[in-house]
Amino acid sequence: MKEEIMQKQWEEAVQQACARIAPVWPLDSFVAVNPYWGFVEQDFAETAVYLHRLSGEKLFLDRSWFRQQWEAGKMRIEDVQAAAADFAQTLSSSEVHRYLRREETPPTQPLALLSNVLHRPDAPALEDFLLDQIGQFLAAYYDRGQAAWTRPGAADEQGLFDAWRQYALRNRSASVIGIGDIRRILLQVPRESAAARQWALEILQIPDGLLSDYLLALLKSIGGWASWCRYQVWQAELQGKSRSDLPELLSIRLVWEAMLHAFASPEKRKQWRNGLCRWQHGEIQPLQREMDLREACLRALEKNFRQGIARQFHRRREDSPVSSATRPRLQAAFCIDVRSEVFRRHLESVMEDAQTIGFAGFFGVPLQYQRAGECHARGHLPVLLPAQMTAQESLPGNLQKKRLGRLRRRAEWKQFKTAAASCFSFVESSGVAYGFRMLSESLGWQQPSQAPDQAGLSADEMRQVHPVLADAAFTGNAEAKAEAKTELAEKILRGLGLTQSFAELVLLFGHGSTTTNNAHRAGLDCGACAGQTGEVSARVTVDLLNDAAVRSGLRQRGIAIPSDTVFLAGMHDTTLDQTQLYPSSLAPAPELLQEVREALQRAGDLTRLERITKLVPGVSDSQQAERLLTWRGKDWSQVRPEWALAGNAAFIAAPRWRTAGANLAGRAFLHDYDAKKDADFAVLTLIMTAPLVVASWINLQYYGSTVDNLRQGSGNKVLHNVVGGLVGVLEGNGGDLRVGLAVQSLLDGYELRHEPLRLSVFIEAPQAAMDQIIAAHAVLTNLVDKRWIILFQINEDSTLHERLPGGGWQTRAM
Amino acid sequence: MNTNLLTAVTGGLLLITPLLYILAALPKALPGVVSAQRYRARIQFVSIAGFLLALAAVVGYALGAQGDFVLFALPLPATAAHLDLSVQLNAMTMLLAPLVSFVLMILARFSVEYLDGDRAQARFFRLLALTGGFFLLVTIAGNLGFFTLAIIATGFSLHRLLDFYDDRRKAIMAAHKKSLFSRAADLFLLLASGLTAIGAGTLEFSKIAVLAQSPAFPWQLQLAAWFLVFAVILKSAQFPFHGWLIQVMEAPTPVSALMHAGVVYSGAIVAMRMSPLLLREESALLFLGVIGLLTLAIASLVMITQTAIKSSLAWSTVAQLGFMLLELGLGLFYLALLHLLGHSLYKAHAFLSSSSGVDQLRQLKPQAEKGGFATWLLGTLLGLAASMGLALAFALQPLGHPVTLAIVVIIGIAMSQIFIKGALFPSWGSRAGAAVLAVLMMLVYYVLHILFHGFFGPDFAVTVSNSVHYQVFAAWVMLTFLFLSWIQGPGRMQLPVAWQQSLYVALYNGLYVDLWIERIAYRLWPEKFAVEKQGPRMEFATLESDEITNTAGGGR
Repeated sequence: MKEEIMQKQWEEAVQQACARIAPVWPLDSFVAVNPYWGFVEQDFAETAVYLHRLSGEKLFLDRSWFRQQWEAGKMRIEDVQAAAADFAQTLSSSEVHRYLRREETPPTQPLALLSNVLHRPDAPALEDFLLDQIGQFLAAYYDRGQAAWTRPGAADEQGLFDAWRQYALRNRSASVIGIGDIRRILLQVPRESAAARQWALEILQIPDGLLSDYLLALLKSIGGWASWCRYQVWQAELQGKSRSDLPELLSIRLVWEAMLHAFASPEKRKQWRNGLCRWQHGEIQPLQREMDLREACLRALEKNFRQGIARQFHRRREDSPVSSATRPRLQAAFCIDVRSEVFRRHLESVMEDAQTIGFAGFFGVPLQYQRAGECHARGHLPVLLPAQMTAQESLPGNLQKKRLGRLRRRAEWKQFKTAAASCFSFVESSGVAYGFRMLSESLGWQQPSQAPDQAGLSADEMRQVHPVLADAAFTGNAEAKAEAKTELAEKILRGLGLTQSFAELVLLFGHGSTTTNNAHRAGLDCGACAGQTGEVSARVTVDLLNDAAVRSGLRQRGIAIPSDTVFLAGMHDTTLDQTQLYPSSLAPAPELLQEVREALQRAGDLTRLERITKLVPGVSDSQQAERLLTWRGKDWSQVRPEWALAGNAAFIAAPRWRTAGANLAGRAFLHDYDAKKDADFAVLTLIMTAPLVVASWINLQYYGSTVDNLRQGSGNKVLHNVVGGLVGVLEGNGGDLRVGLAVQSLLDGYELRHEPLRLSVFIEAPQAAMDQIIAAHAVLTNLVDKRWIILFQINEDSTLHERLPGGGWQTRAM
Repeated sequence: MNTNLLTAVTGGLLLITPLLYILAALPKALPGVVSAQRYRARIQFVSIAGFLLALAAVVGYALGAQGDFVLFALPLPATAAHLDLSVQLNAMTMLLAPLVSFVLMILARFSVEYLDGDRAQARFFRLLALTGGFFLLVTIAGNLGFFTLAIIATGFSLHRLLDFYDDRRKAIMAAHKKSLFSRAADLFLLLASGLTAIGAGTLEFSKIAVLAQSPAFPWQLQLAAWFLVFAVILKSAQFPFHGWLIQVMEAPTPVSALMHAGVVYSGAIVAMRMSPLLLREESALLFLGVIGLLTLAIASLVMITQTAIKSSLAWSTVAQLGFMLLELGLGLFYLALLHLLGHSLYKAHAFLSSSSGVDQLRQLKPQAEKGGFATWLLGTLLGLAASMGLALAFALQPLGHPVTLAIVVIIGIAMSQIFIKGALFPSWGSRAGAAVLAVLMMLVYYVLHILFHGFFGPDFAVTVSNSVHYQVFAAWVMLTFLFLSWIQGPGRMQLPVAWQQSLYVALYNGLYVDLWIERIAYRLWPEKFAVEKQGPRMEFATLESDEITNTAGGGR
């Protein structure tokens, strides 16, 4: 009986530890993840204390950084004092000065794992060895296309843990490196993951109250792969299934720990136990004070940043340069991605009567996309949501045949190139050709590979390919399908805030990037489309909105789209800031189209000029800027094709007139929202629960990668080593799977290009409505109350009010 | 033009390039943008000039430059030999010098943007130039002593590139392992040089070649041949001394490319330069071939189990070097040269573009069936028949010479991979297309084979004997390739699952050899690796902190 209770407690601790790990997506859909997703129910500064104590993980940059910010005038001492007061810390200004001048962190020892204690000076560090061993096995288990000789699994294999056990029983590495013959012990370990965990925990006898911490420390010691296993679980749950990869990984790590226990001397065991005891009763007040003060500095910095933003808000619609025409010439919707802020601003400046809209780049269509000839569809929507309908790639039959033929020949060539028996003769007969290839790739005439969706097709042929959301994607009979389509269209338009005053031409822009030889290409594409370009979503949406039947259905629902209104899909290339428009069933008036094309070109010129200065200083000619950026896109040695979302720190959901003309420097997610059109706050709910959460994911990914790149970032790009084909990257030889962003995406070697600030959220909506939505959604309650985001209300009278943690609003000067 | 003058000019052209590289690397490499920009501009310029100079030297050679160009000779005490600063002007040099300067040119260009923003970029370019310059000397050296000194210098500057990120424990480990094997190889080379100097009275490759033909063959030269073979095995990362090569991705990608596309051939180069001596001591040569065959069989199987792209590429290099040594062992020096050329260019490209694999895997995958034993057998027979046919058509006389037969069989088995894959295509048209491709590739191969024989054959006049040893060895080679093709194809599926698993685990872990070596290295030099694990330096440089790193790292 007692045993059962204990086992139940153990399993709870396992669940708890696993819930702390955030997922990581594979390289073909490399979207941003909040690395602290498992901690959002915990206070920000408390998390900093906890992580620092647990494994030395950092949640803040050092004091010296804050000092530099103060010296640069970006942080005021009074603000630090005021923020510190909120943590019940009274500091005089000279105390703040002294604090900033001295670099010190209260000494703490991370929770010592048995593998850390057993470190032998004359042998490779055990933690490195275990990481390599487990990591290597996981890479083989999850391999997605790299190895030609894949891991042979037994027919009765029961999952990750059992597979590992089989593998480890045959693996002699531990005895070679001098640990001992683990196979003898391993034979006693149950094949079933949970039972093996129990077996290990009985041996280890970790003190009560420390178990979930210890388990988390174990997972953190192999944190990247743990995130990968969490991803497997996440994907299964999204589809209503279940998987247990993460607990099974924990079992693997626990069994290792228990096996090491068997080899450890009594003294070492005692040393380890004493360490656990010391950790459990260690003093944490100095660390708490330190983290509180660092958060105070962070808040002072954020305040300064916010003032720069809020100062530019227009107080009255009349003051705003926004178009006041009853019918704009052009409406153009962009993804809320911070990169579109710059382009939108310039587009509005070059074309009078153009109105731009910010909305999540999947336009609210919960799609998955299936390429012709493929049996699996891939998600084309934010990774938080399950797909509900499938769009198909459509192209002429003979073209598909041609494409498959080419790809098959390519596969055949690859086989010839890499097979054990033929790679030698391949080199002798074709190696020389690679000299020419290198030359032409160095000069940008050619790229090492085509963009994933263009493979096997020429640029001309690509034009014949288009995505189709067929009727078959909707359920029910013909009538129900028509109804479902209309409903979807209505949802899209209401989300866009586009229910009247339609322009003659409405553009829906998806966005993508152009990069070469970049393993993280998907990370630069549209996150709202699961790391693909936004083309499919935009084109499918446009086809829906141009459909005559849908339009007549919409009219019955009170949305009258004028018959001369044409929707067109477009693509905004964020690396080159070039745009292209896709043809649709309806065509706009040629002169209007011409005018719009010219405006887009000029907006692109201005955007490029603004952006190039951050990449190549001293360029002031728009043609040169275009040339340089185009070159960066196709240069195979480029590790910094664009700064992507670096610098992001604000999210604004308000009518465009508030921010029109304001230079937000590509640091703000702009979502259009008009509370007047949203009687039941359904749109507000959607914005706060989806785009806002995604923006905070992005923001905290940048934050985490910056403050602790070793654990939450992917290190140095020049050392990246793609593992498992599409699984992820290692840094160098082996070690952990790396998550997050590379140093090159954050730092130009001399200066941080991403200031690690939390997301400041501005929403123009009634306080009561927001309070209600926050209360109804645990995620939002956590994010706001535990200070992972800072929320402000923009009131109708243009005043700003900060949402206090725990409830209540306080007026802040604008 | 006067032949002597032409020779002097051509040799001079070849010598200027490495000197330019070394001169360009003289200024101090400071951290910071300014130094980096100067350094990279200068090295890029030198690299382009170097390639053009090498091409000019080829023109000089085509116009009739020949023999050795000796800049100056240093008499060696206690022997009749001289340590010459000399360039051997033969076809092989005319292939190697442009090849290496070309790769260096590509690498220099690549590293400009790739390491842009790295605070130590200037230091990187400095080391790249030094390593490149010294290695260019290796490729043109006409004298064993000169060669040895140049390769030692290359090793030392390469070492600094390998632990370019010296806060990485694994980088230090890899660099350290590399230097262990490198020093051992250097020692063998020095011994071989000494013995040659004593036994032959000269260190000039061309003179050794002449002496090796003479009836007398002193024991010093015999021993020198064996030491040379040991040096080649160590320098070429042959099994079980391959560990250092498969871990060099702890340094920036261009360094991996430089290693795998250049420096790692130093062993093969010296073997080719000294081929007359090795042919004379045939058992040493045969030993080299056996090690090569063993390595290629193991490494090519390990390669296809690897899950990380750079590890797979590194194992592939080990295998490819094994193949090159096999060709050397079979006395097919001109083919080894063809292999060196092709592999150098291919592997440099493969490393530099290694991040593109993701794009390729994201592409549409046509449905592929797996062929059975029958398909494999049919494809292999077709391949062998076609290869044999072409070899006969090119008058290579495979039937009389076991060594040539082995090559013909290797090509047949290799091209049969295309037949096997093609046999599974859905239509007869595409199957025919695959067959045409296979035959075409064979044709390309044989044409290159003939061309290289024509151009470079004269550099390596003698071939191996048709002894029983060689007949047995050739048979062994053919069987090995047949086995490799079978085990990767239908073979492993035919084994019992437990065997499959055991074999897989052993191969995937590289037969654990590297762990042994790592353990020994730790035993002997524990303090070397006591580096704390750190994150990348995310501190935000201020002028002062730059100064600090400057004084601390300025001497590097």
